[in-house]
Amino acid sequence: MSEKILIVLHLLVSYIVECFSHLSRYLRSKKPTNYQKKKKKMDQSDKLSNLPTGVTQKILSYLPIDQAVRTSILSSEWRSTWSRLPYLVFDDQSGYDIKKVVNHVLLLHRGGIETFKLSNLDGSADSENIDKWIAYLSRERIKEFVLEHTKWDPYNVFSCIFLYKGLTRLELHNCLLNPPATFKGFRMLKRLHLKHVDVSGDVLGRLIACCPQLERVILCDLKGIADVTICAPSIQFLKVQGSFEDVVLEKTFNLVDVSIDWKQGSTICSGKLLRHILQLPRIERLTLQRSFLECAVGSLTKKLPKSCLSLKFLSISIRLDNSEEILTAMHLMRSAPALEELDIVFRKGKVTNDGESTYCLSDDKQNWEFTQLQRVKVICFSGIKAEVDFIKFLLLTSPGLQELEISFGQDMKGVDFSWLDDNQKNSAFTQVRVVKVTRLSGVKAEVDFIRFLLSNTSQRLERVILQPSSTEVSWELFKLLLAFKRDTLHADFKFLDPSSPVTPVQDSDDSSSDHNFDAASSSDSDFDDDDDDELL
Amino acid sequence: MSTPAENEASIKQESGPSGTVQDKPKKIVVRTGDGEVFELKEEVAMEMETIKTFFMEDNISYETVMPLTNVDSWELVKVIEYCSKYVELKNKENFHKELKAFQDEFVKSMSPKTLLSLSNVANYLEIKYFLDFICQAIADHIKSKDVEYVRELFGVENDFTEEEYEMAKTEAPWAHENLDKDLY
Repeated sequence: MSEKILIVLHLLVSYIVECFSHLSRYLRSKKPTNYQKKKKKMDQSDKLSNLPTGVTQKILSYLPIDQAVRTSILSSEWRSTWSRLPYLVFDDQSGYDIKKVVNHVLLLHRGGIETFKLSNLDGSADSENIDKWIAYLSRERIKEFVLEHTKWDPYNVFSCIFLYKGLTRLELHNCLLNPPATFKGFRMLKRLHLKHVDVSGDVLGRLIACCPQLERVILCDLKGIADVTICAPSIQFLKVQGSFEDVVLEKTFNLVDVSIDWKQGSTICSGKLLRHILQLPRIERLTLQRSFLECAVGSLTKKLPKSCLSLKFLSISIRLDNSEEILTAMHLMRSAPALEELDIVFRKGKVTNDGESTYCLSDDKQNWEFTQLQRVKVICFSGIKAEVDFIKFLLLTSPGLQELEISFGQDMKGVDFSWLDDNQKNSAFTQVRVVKVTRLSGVKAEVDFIRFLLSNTSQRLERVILQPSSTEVSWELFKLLLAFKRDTLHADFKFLDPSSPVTPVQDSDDSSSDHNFDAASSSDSDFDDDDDDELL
Repeated sequence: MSTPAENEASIKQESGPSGTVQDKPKKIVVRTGDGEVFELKEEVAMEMETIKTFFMEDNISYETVMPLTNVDSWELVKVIEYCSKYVELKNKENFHKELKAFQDEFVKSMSPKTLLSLSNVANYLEIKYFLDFICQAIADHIKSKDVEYVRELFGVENDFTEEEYEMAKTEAPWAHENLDKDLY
């Protein structure tokens, strides 16, 4: 009896065990194990979670620094991903406490900082802190250093900065620069940009002279300086703005692009400088803003030893109430027979509407033609007769002109163009293919002027582009133009919205590079050197 | 742009760099990881450093079909779309404005995961400007998103313990303020 029970018990137990094993097998097949779970997830997101370091770093570099640091809580691996970023940008207007942030970042950074940009416009970081940071960075192989300090209290740049041997770019705003006498220069420096910096002419001249690889130099509104000598054999781009009395260029054979914005300067020095620039062998672009031309009046009366054959682009600011200035402009243009593009900025003077000063243009007996000139752009056009005469003169003497752009100055409301109809319609602009009129405010005078322009063009006109100054401009008046079009023109009319690239304005600074993530060098992506200032 | 070729041999190509001058625009043929074959205009293909190096370095003839094993066909379609547009706009006057408009359209309908895949592809094909653009788009997207969202997006597993997490957070308290709590 007990045997039977034992057997039954045995069978029961083995049956139960089997049930359990079936059950557990069944359950296992339904729910993946932790290992299986992990593997499946990894396979799916394999591509994504295994993004190459270069890519994740690039993404982080596009984030503001406080957000990049935040990725430290993603996972243990990510804890220090941000700390290898070579490109650091700090801005005390971004809402974080800049002292805390910079200290923290520098403390935990794993090394390899190549770019350090600090914008301290509110003065949240005091000089003691900045001194410390500059000292710290001297241990890194830093390539780019940019400091925009508050204008209320210039920062005396800490001497450790002169130990940055690998520096390729230095940009300082509102600082005091005082290198030690033993300073031998930045051997690798390619870009120097100083704005509102207090430095003496000698010191600056010495600094530039002992940086043999300098290619781009921008000097804006420097304090404590009247004269400077720029001796830089590799320099290609130079921009000088402010109250300099004299700028002397020495051995600058590679200069390609020069921009001078003079507030006031001596006639002798300006004249000498202009003549010197025009004799540079490689000069292609020249921009003379504000009163430079006025200061250099008469400097080109005596012909240059040889014409400037490389100059392709010229931008000048001219006041039409000064016939001497107009003559100088003419001489300047004639010294550059290869000129292809011309920008004219009309400055306000004591002008009247009678065209007295531009008489010298019509009186001109030289029969000169600007044969290579293809594009003319007129900025701050206010509709006075002198300006119209000037434009007509240009068009009559440029047989190859393809494109004419006129950008209205402000306030065209009071302007009256009724006198335009009195002029002979001598089809002055027959060669023009494209006419572009920008900064329109929708007043009748503008329409009259455009009609005047169009009535002087020929069948060669292909395109007319109109752009208002803002979105509030009404297009009612311009519909009149379309009626005009149907009668005489076969050109395409195109209306641009106001947000197209803006005409370069008078007081613009250089554009800085957008950040280039390549470890090798920080190259510029300057599309147009005269674009707006972009520090960060 | 995606023309599945029936037979590689039937593609009439002049040979690449060592070939004679011809009138037809050159095409480069690639095969993606999922087996689809694409014909690219030469000027568009040369925007991709990886492809450029492949053909230029060893003077390989354009008849060769280049394998792009790490790229899916849908990804290549998008890359071609962007590069073609870029090449088209490159020399135009309003380059930046038109490119910006195109860029806004391009990313409008894209999920962040898509952007991540494309960043991988851009990196693999070595198209600098495209990679910059995609990374900027991803960065704009994750700005002010909270940690869970970013983890989910990048497929990162949280391997912190409670204590480790708190410690990491207190390291830089200023970095964890001002966040959106919205997901997706």
